[in-house]
Amino acid sequence: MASIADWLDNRTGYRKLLSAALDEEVVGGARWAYVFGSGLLAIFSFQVLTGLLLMATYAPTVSSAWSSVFYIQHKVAGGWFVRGLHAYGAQAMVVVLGMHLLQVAIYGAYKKPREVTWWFGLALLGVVQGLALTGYLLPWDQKGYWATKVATNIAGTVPLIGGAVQALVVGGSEYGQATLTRFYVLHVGVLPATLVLLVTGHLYLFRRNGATPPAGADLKRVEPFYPNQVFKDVAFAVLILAVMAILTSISHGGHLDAPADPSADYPPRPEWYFLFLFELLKYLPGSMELVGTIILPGLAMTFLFLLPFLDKGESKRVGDRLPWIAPLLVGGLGIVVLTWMSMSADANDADFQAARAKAHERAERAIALAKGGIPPGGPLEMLRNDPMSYGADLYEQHCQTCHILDGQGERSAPDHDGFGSRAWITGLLHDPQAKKYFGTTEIDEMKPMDELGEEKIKAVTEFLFSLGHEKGDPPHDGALATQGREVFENECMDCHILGDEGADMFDGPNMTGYGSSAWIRGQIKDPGSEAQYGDMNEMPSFSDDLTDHDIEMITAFLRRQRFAQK
Amino acid sequence: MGVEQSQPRRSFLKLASAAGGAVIGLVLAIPGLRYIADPLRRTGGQVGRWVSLGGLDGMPEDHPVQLPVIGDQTDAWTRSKDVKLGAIWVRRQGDAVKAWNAECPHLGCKVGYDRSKSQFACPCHESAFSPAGERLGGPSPRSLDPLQTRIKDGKVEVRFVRFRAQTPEREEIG
Ligand code: FES
Repeated sequence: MASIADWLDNRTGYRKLLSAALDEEVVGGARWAYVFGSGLLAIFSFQVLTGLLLMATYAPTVSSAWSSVFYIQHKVAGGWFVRGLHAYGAQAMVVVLGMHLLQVAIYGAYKKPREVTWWFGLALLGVVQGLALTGYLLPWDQKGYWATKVATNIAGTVPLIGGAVQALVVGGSEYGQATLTRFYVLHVGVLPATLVLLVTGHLYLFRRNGATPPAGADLKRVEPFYPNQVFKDVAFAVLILAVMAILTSISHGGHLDAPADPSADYPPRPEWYFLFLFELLKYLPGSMELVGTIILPGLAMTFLFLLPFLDKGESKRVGDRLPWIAPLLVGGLGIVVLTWMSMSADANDADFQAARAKAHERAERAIALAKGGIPPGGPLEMLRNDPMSYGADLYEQHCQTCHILDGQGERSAPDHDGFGSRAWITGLLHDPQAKKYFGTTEIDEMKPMDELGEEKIKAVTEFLFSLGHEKGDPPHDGALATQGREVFENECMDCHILGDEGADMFDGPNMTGYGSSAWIRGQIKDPGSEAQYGDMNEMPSFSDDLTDHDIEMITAFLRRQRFAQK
Repeated sequence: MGVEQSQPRRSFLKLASAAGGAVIGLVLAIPGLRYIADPLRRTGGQVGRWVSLGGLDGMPEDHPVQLPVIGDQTDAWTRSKDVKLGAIWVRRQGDAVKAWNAECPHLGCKVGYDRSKSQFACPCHESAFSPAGERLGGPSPRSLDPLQTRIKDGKVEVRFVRFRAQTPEREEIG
C-alpha cells in the first residue's frame, strides 16, 4: 500500500498538493466565524450537483419547460426532493452570503492587503444574484414569467444602453423562446463558469493573505487548517444541508405555478430576498424610478467597493470604525424594514390575497390535468381544452358582464350559481321574479307556482332536471320525473314548449333538452331561436364573437353548475 | 547566437504571438458577438397589428372588460396560430369603443379593474388609473396606453401594440 502511494507521489507530487491545501496555518486559531466562506462553497457544490440532476430531465423550450418541471416535481422518483434542495439552496446561498459579508465587514477583513479579495467577493455577490434571477424563469410558470418581465423592464430603464441590454437578454422585444434559452445558458453555463473563475481568484487571494483574526486575538496561537478549521467548516455544511432538507421535506419541494400565460391575471412578486427592492419601487414616482432601480443599488455597490479605502485606519475594532460600519447596518436595517413592509402590505391586501388564491387554484388545476399527460403543443394547449380554467376565463370575460357567479359579475340576467340544478329549478318555480332569476330582466310573464304545492313542485323539478340528462351524469329519479312530466304538461305548457307541443298563450322558453349541453350551446349561439327563448329573448348572440371551441368550453363550464353542491 | 542577435528575435516572437492571439480572438469574437446580438437586428420589425374583438352587442355599456388578444405568432423557429399574445381592456360607450393595453406602463405587470373603487389597479406597485385610463397615482410614468380602434363590417377591431415600459412618452416596441 505504502509503496503504491510512494509511486503515485513520485509521479504526481500529490502529497505536496494535499499538504499545501490542508496544512495551512490558521493564525489566531480556527474559528466558527470563518465558516461562512466555506459554507458558500459547500452550497455551491450542492447547487452544481442538484442542478446537473435537474438538467437531466429539464427541457428549455417554451412548450416543454413547464411540463418537464412538472414531471420532475410529480413523476420522477425523488424529483421533488432534488428540485426542492436546489430551490432552497439558492435561498441558503443568499442568506449565508449576507452572513459572510457581515462577518468580513465586522472583522475589518477587507482592509489592506485584502482589498482585491473583497472585490472578488462583491463580484461574486452579483453573480449569485444573477443566478437567482435567471433560475426563477426556467420553470416558465406564471411566477417566473411575470417576475422576469418586471426585472427585465427594470434593466430597460438604464439610460442609453438599457434598451439594448433588455433586448439582448430578452432576445428581442417579445418574451418567448429566445428569452428562455438565453436565461438557461446564463444560468447553467455563463454564470456558473464566471462564478468558478471568481471563486478561484477569491480563494487564491484568501490563501495568499490568510484569514483575518478579530481585533485583540492571540496571534501567537496557531492551529492547522486541517483538521481544526475543516471540522468546523464541515459541521456548518452539515447544518446548512440539514436545514435545506428539512425545509424541502416540510414544503414538499419548490412551488410550481400555472404555466406562463401572457394574457392571464397574475399578481407577481419576486423572491423574498428581492422584496425590499420591489417595495422601494412603490414609493418612487415615474421620474424618480432610476433612484430605486439604478442609483441606490449603484451607490450601495460603489460604497462597498470603496470601503477598503474609506476605512483605511489600522484599527479593526468596530468601535473605531463606526462611521464606516454604520451605513452597512443602516442599509441592512432598511432592507429588513422594507421587506417587512412589503410582506405586511400583501398580507393585509384582500385583493392580493384573492388573486393569489386564484393563481394557486389555477396551478393546482394545471397540475391535476398534467397528470393525465400533456399534449405536444404544451401546457397552454392543454389548458385551452379545459372548461374549468379556459371556460371559466371566457365566462368571466363574456358572461359575467350580465350574469353573477360566485359573487362576481353584474346582474342584468339570471344568476348562474347552481344553474340547472334541482335547487335552482325549485327556487325559480317558487319565485321567478326574484332578483337572482328574472327580476332584472323584462321577462315577467311567469307567475310563482306555489299553488302547485311542495309535492308537485318537487316532481316538476325532477322532471325539468331530467331534461338535461346526458350520458355519464349521476342518475335522477325516473318515477318522480314521470309524475312531474304529467304536472308540467297540465300546468306549464300553455306558455312553454316541449318537443313539438305547447305554448298556446306565450312563446315561452322552449324547454326541450333544458339544461343539456345542446340547450346551453344553443342559448349562447342563438338565444332568440325557436329552440330557446324565441321572441322573449334579451340576450345577445355570441356565435359571431366566439369560436365553436370557445362556446363548447363555456357550455361545459356552465353545465357543471347543475351538479354544484350549494 | 549572441545576446545582441536574440533580442530583436525575441521581440519578434513576442509580437508574433500577440498577433496570433489577436487573430484567434477576432475570428471567434466577431461572429460570436454578431450571433449573440442577433435579436437587436430583429427588433423594429412589424409593429402593431389589427385584431378583431367581435361585435358591439356582446360588450356591456360603460363597463371595462378585459379580453385576451389572440393571434398568430412567430416565436424564434415556431410559428403558431391563434395563441394568446397579451390582454387588453375595452370599454364601450354607445357606439364608441376605447381600448388600452393591459400592461402597466410602469414595469409591465397586468393591470386589473377594481370594481369596488371603479378604477384600474396594478397588482404590483399600486399604480392606479381612472376608468378613462388616466393615471391617478402610483409609480407609473404615464396613463394607460390607449390602442386605436375601428369598426369594420360591424366588428370592433383594435390595433394591438406594446409600448416600452417606464418612459414618460410612449414608444411602440412590438
Ligand atoms: S408594474 Fe404596475 S405599478 Fe409597477
